[in-house]
Amino acid sequence: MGFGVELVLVLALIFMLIYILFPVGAMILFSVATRWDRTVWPEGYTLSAYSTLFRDREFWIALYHSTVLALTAIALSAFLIVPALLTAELTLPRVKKFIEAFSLAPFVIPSVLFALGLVETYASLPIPLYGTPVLLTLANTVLAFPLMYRSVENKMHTIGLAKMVESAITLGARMPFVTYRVILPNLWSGIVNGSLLILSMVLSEFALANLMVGGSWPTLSVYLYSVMRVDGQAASVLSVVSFTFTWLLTSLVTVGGVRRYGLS
Amino acid sequence: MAYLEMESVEKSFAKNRVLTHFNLSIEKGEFTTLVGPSGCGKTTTLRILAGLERPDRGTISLEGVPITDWPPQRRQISMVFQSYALFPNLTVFGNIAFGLWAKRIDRLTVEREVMNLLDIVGLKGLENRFPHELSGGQQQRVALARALAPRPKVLLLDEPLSAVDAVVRLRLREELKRIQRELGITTVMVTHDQEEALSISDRVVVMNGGRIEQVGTPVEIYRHPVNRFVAQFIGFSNALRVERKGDSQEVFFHHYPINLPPLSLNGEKRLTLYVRPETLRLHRPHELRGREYDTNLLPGIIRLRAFYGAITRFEVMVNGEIIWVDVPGHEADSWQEGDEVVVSFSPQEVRIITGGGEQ
Ligand SMILES: Nc1ncnc2c1ncn2[C@@H]1O[C@H](COP(=O)(O)OP(=O)(O)O)[C@@H](O)[C@H]1O
Ligand SMILES: [Mg+2]
Repeated sequence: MGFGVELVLVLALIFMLIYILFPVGAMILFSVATRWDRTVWPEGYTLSAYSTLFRDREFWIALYHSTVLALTAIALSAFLIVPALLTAELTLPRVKKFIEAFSLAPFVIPSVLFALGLVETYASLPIPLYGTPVLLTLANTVLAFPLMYRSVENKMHTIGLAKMVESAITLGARMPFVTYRVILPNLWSGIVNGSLLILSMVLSEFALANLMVGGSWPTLSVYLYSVMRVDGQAASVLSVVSFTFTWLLTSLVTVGGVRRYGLS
Repeated sequence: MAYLEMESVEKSFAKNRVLTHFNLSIEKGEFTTLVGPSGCGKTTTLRILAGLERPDRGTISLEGVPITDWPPQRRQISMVFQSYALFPNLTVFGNIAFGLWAKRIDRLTVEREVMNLLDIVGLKGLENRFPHELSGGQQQRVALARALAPRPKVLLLDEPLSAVDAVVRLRLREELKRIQRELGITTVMVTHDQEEALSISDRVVVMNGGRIEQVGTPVEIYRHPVNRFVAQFIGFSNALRVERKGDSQEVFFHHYPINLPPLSLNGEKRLTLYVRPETLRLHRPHELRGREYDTNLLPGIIRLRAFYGAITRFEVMVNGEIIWVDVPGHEADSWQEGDEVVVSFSPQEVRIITGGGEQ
């Protein structure tokens, strides 16, 4: 490669890092500033905004709600998609196109429309789901589908899982054994990948949460919104906290997966 | 009844008919090879035998028992895929042990069996490696050992040697043959390489477009192809289109008379003769002075000379048509491009296929 090309690439990388890190850095700085409206750098530093947030019961409730939402969406989408995808891959490759089309639907439907549609529909149905967290969980799972689908499908193809499973069954192994010894270990990083995408999606998802349950069962983003209207600094503190939370979970899960299955 | 049988098997994918009225009998301990051009249904045949694909019609039986409806797990038929499909999360040991673990065989037996197989395929000492730490040839051996571990009744190999380089391929081919002989395991291998098929098998099944063209020993298939397809797909043949004058046994290639072995020609006017290049001989024109009117002598000019090591292949132009002649070793040294030559062959070496049109 020419020297000029390398230089351009390095510059592009530096530019990208600045582009990403600058607002994050500013946000972190703002969350620990005493006052930062008259000077280039903050006038002083304090963690008081953090202690205020952590002492707020509402925050812990919202965090709990969001975690429940994320875990349910992850579990449901993994349990539904992995077996469906594998069955389609092994027995009915043509069905895959349909699954794919359906799983992409949430990408093309704006989430406000999706939320309003669900609210309208369930308000008029005699099923007691309207305004409940259950409905929100199910709606979130639908949004989670394409994320899990993409990650798992991608992984499945890269490693050629279908042929591995076929080898395993011609060797006499039954499906539970194959699932435990072949499918899960090899698909693990794909599932983790999808889970992390879902986690960050659910933590930041606002339209559905606000329109479907709103203040009666606040999630982290609904809480963030209510705090932001009162106190800009509290909002940036919360952003830093949820960012750190996602990042910590990501690292934990990734490291865990590598330990467990020796995969990266 | 044969050990493994496919009877009247048909298989289509959507509108694409892949196997048509497919009958195949395989004897116990035999090494059978399915050979044919890409897309002719070889892999599909193996997958149907393994139970990974269900035939639309027909029956599969093993040891006289119909197994058409049996799931793959129950068949005791192992398959080695073209891509090996080793388990990347397991070591070499784990991969080979897999089929034994699945059967809940005790640890000591598993260990003994795996070590024995490692020895057979020549991988001793590599049991703790992961598949990605092995060369292509070593991965191939692991795949073979893994398939052999549960002691299957039949071993299926889908183009097992196509992914390794030429040198390794030849060595693995010999080893595969040796292992198959030692274990006496009934084996069905797929290849699109006719040379591989001839050199390794007890029996060769030549397939084309979802049908069987010919089944026979390598020698039968090579020396006595039953039709045009087999004659041209297996080995290399000159195809001479000849015409018959009247009802005599005499036929003509352009105006050169050709003598054929005795056979019944049902009034056919146009025939194609298949002659292997190694059965043709080259002569100097003066050597044959006085024999100009003999049969099976075709005068021409050497257009091209290609050195293949063991043989040299000459492209001889006879009346505007190319005839290939293979000459072994040093004999080839005295012939050059541009030489005037006469090509001769014995009537016994000619395979005749009636209906002289193009395939
Ligand atoms: N799962 C499948 N779905 C649709 N068509 C298939 C499938 N498997 C094979 N085919 C088709 O069947 C034909 C034979 O394929 P295959 O048995 O793989 O041939 P070969 O192994 O001889 O190259 C090809 O035309 C191929 O496209
Ligand atoms: Mg094939």
